[in-house]
Amino acid sequence: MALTVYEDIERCFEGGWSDGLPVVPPYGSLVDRMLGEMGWKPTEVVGRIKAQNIEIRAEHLAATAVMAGCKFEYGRLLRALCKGLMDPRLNLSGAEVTTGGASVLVMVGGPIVAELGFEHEANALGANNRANATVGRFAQMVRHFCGRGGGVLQTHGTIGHPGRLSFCIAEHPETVWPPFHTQFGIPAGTSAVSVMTSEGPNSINNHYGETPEVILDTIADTLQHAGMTNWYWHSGCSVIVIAPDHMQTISPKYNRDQVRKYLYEKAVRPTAELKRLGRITANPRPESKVDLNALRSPFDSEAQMAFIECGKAGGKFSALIPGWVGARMIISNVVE
Amino acid sequence: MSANLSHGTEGGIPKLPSAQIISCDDVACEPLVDPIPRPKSEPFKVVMQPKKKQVVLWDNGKPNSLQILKLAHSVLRARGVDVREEIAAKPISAGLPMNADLLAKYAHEDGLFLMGIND
Repeated sequence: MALTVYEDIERCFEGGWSDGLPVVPPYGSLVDRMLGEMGWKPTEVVGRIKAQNIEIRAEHLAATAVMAGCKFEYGRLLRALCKGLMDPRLNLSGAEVTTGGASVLVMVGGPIVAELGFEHEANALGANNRANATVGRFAQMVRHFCGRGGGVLQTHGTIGHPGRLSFCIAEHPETVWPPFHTQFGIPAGTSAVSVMTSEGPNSINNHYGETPEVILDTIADTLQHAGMTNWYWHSGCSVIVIAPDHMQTISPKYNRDQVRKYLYEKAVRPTAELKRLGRITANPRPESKVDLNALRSPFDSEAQMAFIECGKAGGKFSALIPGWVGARMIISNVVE
Repeated sequence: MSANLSHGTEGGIPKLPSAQIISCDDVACEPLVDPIPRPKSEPFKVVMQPKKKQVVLWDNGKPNSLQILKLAHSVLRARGVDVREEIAAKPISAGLPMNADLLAKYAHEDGLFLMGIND
């Protein structure tokens, strides 16, 4: 039996049914059970990518969930996650082919974080935890199987980032500010899963600052680094991860909306300098609203910044996760 | 050789993923469930030469695309190639995928259709 399973894992590699890591072979009995937990019939069409002429059926997604190592009890979360993955606004095939090497960032919040055992403290952006690792892997595998892995697209990512294998973060069940998904109209107290196409995370270290302003200035400085992809395009969102120690310094004086406004005003650079650095094209299009005499934010509006609370107390780190510029929003869905 | 391949090549062409994988033990065999959505029909029709001997240039909206295409336009014309005067522009953002209507429109071009790209 053990040898058969091992051989089946190898068959999946040889047949191209893999993301580069060993998979749980998608035996019919396992896939049927996952379908039951997801609440779908096998041939139900869950999504379509017209430009690629493909229909994504429930059995494709359930097989992928099994292969990624997801537990059956994750089914209802995966159903809501699939809704986000199949939303054309996420631009899944764009994330697959872009030179930007984007991943699909999955963000889980609400009571389901504790119910399914997600890690939301230690190493929250890369937890060695089954729920985080397999749910994040599932999202990347769906992207891969709908794209290069399915043989219908090539991928041109210049360097990519490790999140293209798995990238799932969970918010603290108890947050200082209202939960992450409330920024997208979902009530607090509800379980939700959100998706955003993203670049890799940038760590933000400030261990010696004692006021909220110096912590926020440090975050703003990260948002305005010269390599920020959004300088010209202005279309991507960014997720700012606030860990407990920084939150303890910031929150007595600032609420979330105030922080958003503060960062939007502070994270700017002279447009002429951006042009000198080659970060603004010499021939900008009108929709990029380039004014060489003005300061430039990497965002069109402060609403392009969203905040999530996770990480372990005891270290004064936060993080910036820049969104890929080919998708213009974070998509959030309720887990029923 | 480029490693931009999912699981190897066959005669220099990237291999498509297996349509079916069968698991067998000592007693029985069963097919594994295919996780990969497949195109319902051939997604691309390959035409070896355009119907009309004309180059059609198309700007996808990336920052330097139009400049590259203008240069290509003048170089090709200087070499006696028939190039359509107008350089068409993608009517939606470069960051968004082509929709079905646009693809259908450009699929009916008779000339050699060249898209300009540049980050």
